[in-house]
Amino acid sequence: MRNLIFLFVKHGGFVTFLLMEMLCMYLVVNNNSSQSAIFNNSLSAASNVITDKFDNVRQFIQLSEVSDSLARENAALLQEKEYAQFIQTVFKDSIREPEKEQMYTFMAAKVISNSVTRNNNSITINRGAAHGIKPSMGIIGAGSNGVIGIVKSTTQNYSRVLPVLHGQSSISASIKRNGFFGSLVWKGGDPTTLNLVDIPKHAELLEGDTVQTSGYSSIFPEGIMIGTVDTAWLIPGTNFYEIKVKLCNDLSNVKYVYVVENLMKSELEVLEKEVSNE
Amino acid sequence: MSNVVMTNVLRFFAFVFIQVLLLKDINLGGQSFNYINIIIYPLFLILLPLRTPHSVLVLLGFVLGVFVDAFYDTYGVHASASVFTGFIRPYVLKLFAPKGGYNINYSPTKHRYGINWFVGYCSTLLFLHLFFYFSVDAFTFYYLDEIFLRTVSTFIISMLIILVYKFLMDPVE
Repeated sequence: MRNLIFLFVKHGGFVTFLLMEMLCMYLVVNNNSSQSAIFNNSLSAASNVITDKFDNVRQFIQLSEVSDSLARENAALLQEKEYAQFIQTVFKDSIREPEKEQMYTFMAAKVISNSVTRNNNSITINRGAAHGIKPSMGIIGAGSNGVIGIVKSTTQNYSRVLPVLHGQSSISASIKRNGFFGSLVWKGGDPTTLNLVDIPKHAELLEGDTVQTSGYSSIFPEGIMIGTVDTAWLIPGTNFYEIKVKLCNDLSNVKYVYVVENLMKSELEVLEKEVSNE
Repeated sequence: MSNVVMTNVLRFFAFVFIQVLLLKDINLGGQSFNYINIIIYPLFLILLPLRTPHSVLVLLGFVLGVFVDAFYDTYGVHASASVFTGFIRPYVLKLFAPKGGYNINYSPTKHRYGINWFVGYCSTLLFLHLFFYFSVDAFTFYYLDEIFLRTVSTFIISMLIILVYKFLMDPVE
């Protein structure tokens, strides 16, 4: 212990100096207003600089975390973009006339997949059972109208459409000018023409006659334009014409469609069932 | 031995009281040139015996400074300068070491080592003390020119008074 004290007395000058100066500075800062003001200002300035530098380092370290969270936020924002949304809002319009009861409603829908090159094509639209779409509703094109097809099956948000460009598609159509009706079928090939069959041979046909929906199927309202008569010929050995119908719309670029709902279909079905049961 | 201790104890109080009761209130520069103080109390540290241990010098510097501060009402300012002076004294002594080296039983006085040596040694320590003191007093080097002005003007007057004292009384220790 004595040696320690001796050692300190002999060589502790610098340590004593430092300790004493620290004590003095403590006294200076705590007892003198101007010095303490300067000290505090300098201290805060220095601490600001240090905090700033430290922040930079920490920000750099956290950069990956930040970019992750930014990516997350971006994804969330992208999800909010219009094209990422499945618009549940349903635009419905109806044919309203004062003395008539509502029969058909139209629901806007967007084509999300389409094909025209195969023999049996299909269209998918972004409306489904959740929006009130049921199988065997009609689909007509937006804008230039024209028949697109018939809903074949639905899921919650989507519907599969059996388009007119399908081997099993058969739509009741009539010649506007004289009312002769037949079935509109597709035999493959050209997606801009359909074949109208079962038009009796006594029907008077002109090139360019308008072909429209007959309204007999209870799927489409009557009078929706389908196309115009292109060429017609009598099928040998039968009494019926086969007519090439040029479609008024182009199914290969259809983007928006309307889903047609017949509000009185169930009524009609009950009636037809009674008739067939007899 | 006890004679040396007694001398220094007396000197301690003498310098402190001369400093705080007399010199503290003297303002030679007046209102227009408020840069001249008279500071002679470091002479106590300057005249301590050569064999005084380094750490003891520093501690005595602190005690001296605190006493002066108590009257100046500037706790720590004079003390830090005195601590600094006590700390650098051995190095300044080394700087001014005579050819034969020091006799560690002596005190660093004009009587022992001559006027030239004493002026060099004393003025170096006093100047450094004053510079340190005014730096701590300003607490920033932003007004470095002012610090230097105070240091130099105070140093000249103080050194003159110290030399007068030394010529009037030329103590061996």
